[in-house]
Amino acid sequence: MNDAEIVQRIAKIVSTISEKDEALIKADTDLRDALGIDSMMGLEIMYGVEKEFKVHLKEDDLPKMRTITGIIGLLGDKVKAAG
Amino acid sequence: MNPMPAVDADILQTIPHRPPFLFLKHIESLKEGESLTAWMDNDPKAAHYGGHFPGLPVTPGVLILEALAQASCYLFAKTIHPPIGSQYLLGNVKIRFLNTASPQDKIQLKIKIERIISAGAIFNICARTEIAELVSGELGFICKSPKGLR
Repeated sequence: MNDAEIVQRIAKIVSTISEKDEALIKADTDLRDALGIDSMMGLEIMYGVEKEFKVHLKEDDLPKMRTITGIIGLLGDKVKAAG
Repeated sequence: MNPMPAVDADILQTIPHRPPFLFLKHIESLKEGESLTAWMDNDPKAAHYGGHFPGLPVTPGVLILEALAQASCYLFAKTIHPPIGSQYLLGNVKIRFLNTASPQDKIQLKIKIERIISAGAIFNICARTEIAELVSGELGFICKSPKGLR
């Protein structure tokens, strides 16, 4: 799985939760400032990403989830390897 | 005859909700960090039945949902042990109302943790009577400590 595919899958999760157009959600879009993601939505995104990629994220990771790029950094190599 | 005459004292010690807005009455079973089965306070003499609806009383769905939210708070508090004075702010509700209940119905609440962190949680929720499922879905809230939360 390449980065573009991962961005698309995470953007779909963010779009569903934020009710924003998926086309507006880019890899470096600030999820809080640009999309209005609040604490509850942050938790929902975390849970959605965990289910989508079958990974477990740490609570301490939440502040790093400001952008999709940040989320991909947390997912690390295991997602890319999983295909 | 109501087999559960009073609210469990432990409920009052665990969640901040109080009458007349406390709808969680009795805890049947608890698995901390996992799940909860509890009972709603569905008092047939409650004032809201006079208006919802005259001559044909139906348990308000929003109150069943509130009972589910309070049961979720109880499970959260027993799992995370947030500071005294914490507030629970409902943030996400995805549910379906499937059937109606009457003032005579005993309403069972079933809660299962989907994802939990110290600042909040997402739950799978279900309410039912002996014969029918009333509400099913997902609920999430943020727990705001007395010191505040961004």
